[in-house]
Amino acid sequence: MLIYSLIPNLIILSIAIGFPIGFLSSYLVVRRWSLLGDIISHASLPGITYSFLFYKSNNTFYLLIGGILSSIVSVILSFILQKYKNLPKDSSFGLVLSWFFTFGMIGISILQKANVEGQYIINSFIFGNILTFPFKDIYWKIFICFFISILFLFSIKIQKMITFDPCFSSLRYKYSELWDCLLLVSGITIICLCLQIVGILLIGTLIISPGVIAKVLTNSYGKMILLSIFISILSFIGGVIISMRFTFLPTGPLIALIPILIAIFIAFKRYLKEK
Amino acid sequence: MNEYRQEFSNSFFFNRKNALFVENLNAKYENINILENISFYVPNGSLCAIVGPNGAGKSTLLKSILGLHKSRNEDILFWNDTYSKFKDYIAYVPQKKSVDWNFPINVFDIVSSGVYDITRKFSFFMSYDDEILVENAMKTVGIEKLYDCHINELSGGQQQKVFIARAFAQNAYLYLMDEPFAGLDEMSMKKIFDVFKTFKKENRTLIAVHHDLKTLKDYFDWIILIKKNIIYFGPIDIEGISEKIESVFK
Repeated sequence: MLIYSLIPNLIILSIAIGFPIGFLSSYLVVRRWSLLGDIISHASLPGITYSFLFYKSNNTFYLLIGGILSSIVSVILSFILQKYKNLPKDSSFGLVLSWFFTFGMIGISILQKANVEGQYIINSFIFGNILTFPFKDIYWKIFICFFISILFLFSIKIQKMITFDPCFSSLRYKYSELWDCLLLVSGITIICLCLQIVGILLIGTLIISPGVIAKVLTNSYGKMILLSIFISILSFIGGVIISMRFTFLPTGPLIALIPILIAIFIAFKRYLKEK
Repeated sequence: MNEYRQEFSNSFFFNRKNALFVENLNAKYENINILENISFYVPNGSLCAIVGPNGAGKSTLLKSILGLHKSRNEDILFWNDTYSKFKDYIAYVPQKKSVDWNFPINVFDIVSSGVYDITRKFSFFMSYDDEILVENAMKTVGIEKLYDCHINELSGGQQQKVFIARAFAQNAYLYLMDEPFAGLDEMSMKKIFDVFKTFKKENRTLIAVHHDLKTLKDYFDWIILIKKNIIYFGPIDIEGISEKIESVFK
């Protein structure tokens, strides 16, 4: 009964998170930064783990700040490797992802040996568990989601230009690079907010799939964003409700599974149409 | 956009002698000198061609002028002042390879990006004046029927026209174009140059990288011959210009 009483809150949270995830997914896909979603999530692990070690507290606020900071450092590092060391995009992303994840795993080993109380919270970040999500601070998380959605919504024109024609955008808009950074930091924040629901290991699917599916279905960036938001919300609500109905199934994999099922359904439908 | 651009009147541009003045520009790509001691000027209201063989540094020159490629110790003046002061009056058409052709965007969105105003970038809808500018720009280059097409569905020539239309929509006084006529048929090229000839009467300036040596004298009145250094810059209708051009390609 307790679990079912959470459903209205979960649906509100799913919708609130679905919007910025949809925007972010479209942006990362068109910018050819799909792998960045995976890097951000994996690179948050050391931040979360060492924050926990430092504060020895289950307060998710500190853990999220740690996760966001380490993700920001990882993104900066991967761009530095690309720009100054001429590493290819995929190599630099892969390298940074593995480095940060290794640091995170070392932190987890230290935690396990130290036998610090409340370690389960780290597992909820890795695998995703909606039941560990602190609903007492749901309102500021919804506010952050709303704020990030507004930021993405009002910068659609700049997103188009930064991605389609970077030269033109840097000439026309004085702050185009600043906008790029702002959107990335917003993206990192929203990914870290979702970690406790979907998990570090699976959030990559949720970040990439809605945008990719939407891009296959439409030739317009606006429509792509709308579709991507719809798929994200559907994935969150579907995943949460199925997880609630069958409590033995974890939320994270179910949320990540829904866009995969949508992609298979669309591919199958197209195959039948072509046949 | 028009309100924002009231700062400089048409007469301001009429009264300036040179649209562009460059002195001592040097540019490198990974320790290789691409441009050395480049100095030249382009008079206001001229149609200027940048001509040179492959690898001569033509595109780098345009990028360096606009600050897209880092160069050093140079003086670059637009109408005797800095780029930042006149950035809204300068339109740039990049080379085709610098654009992401898979981006989901249609022709109208690209052309209308020419009128996005820094002060109104949060607005979703264009003003009536801006809409007219965009429509006219599309009509001028003959792509008004393609407004809803995805950029990747167009031919090379049509794609080029879209970028020229975007530059026209900017309503600029200086047009810097990197191989703008690549892939355009002769008729389209002539039509676009007719527009530039009317621009010339309004003291607007065109600086374009141009490869077709046969049409040089028909369309341009000023030339910059470049091969890492400036070989010649000045009027195109002087005696012995053909020999100078030939010498650059040897």
